[in-house]
Amino acid sequence: MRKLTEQELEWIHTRLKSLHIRYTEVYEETFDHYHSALERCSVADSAEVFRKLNKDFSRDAVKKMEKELRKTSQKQVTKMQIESFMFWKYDVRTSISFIALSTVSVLISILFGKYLLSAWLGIVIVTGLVFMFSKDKSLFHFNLVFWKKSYVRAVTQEIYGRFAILSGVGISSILNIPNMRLEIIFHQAGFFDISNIFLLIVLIYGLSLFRIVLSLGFSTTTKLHSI
Amino acid sequence: MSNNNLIKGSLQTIILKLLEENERMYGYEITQRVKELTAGEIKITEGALYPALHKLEAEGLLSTEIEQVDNRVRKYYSLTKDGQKEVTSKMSELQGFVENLQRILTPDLKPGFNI
Repeated sequence: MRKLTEQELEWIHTRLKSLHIRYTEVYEETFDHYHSALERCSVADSAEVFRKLNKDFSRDAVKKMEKELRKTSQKQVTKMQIESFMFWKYDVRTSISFIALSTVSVLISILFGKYLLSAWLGIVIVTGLVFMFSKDKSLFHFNLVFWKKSYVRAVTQEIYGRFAILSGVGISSILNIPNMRLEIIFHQAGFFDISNIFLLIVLIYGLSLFRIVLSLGFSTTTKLHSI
Repeated sequence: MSNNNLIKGSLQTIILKLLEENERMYGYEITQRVKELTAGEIKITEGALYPALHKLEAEGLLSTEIEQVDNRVRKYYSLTKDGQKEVTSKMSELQGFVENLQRILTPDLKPGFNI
């Protein structure tokens, strides 16, 4: 294996830029593939190898890679959310914290109703977002120089997306649900306000997302070669 | 003749089988191993390989680990427990198909012939 020349590295950077890759994971994998192929061929053959690689890594191929990666990330986050409820699998400290947080949420909803519960939900969302931001800022790397692209981790995008949905559902439940007929039925049945139940579900969903954020360990040493 | 269309349906099985034998591999390594084993007769295109790898990962058959190699990031794939089970079933499925194909292509062949 040999070290790539400056010119060869420049070829890869230019090619990857032209593919308009969105996700860090796809960028890294494609870069490694080009690099591995070129370092195993002679300098004399590199132009031909590079041409073949460009043919294989077409725009369509990259789009397909991104599509499958998106699906993987969605499944991964959902699986982690479900697992986050299996508190018996955590260490004792985490289990106690998780049970305590869930109990506090239920108590707030029973004793103080939806407004305090929604404030509590707000705290969970904001804290989760702050933690997420401290681990991976890639989604917020906006660049004013339009030809310099920013890459995003597919998992990060998925988690931020779920936080956004969570906030939306939380807000709309505070605003709309009291007008629903179901609420009256619940009241007549002797239960507390249905919006509390709804908010509680949303809150538990938020707690599971929060738990994922805490367990994520993104590499901060990875430098993207084309940024 | 390009054999890409013939490989398409068995790509997942090829990947799973290679990972069963090699514990963990990265994308480029898989393409090279296939080329080596088939003396260049079968070439897996990158445009088909990576989506297939990501799909298998999404299905929980593969797990991944990231490693820093010479200033760049490399993603290694390996079989999960479910993946290990899947190799056996995919292999027998493919073998059954090849047997049936043989029967069609060479009708004189006795049933139960194994490749």
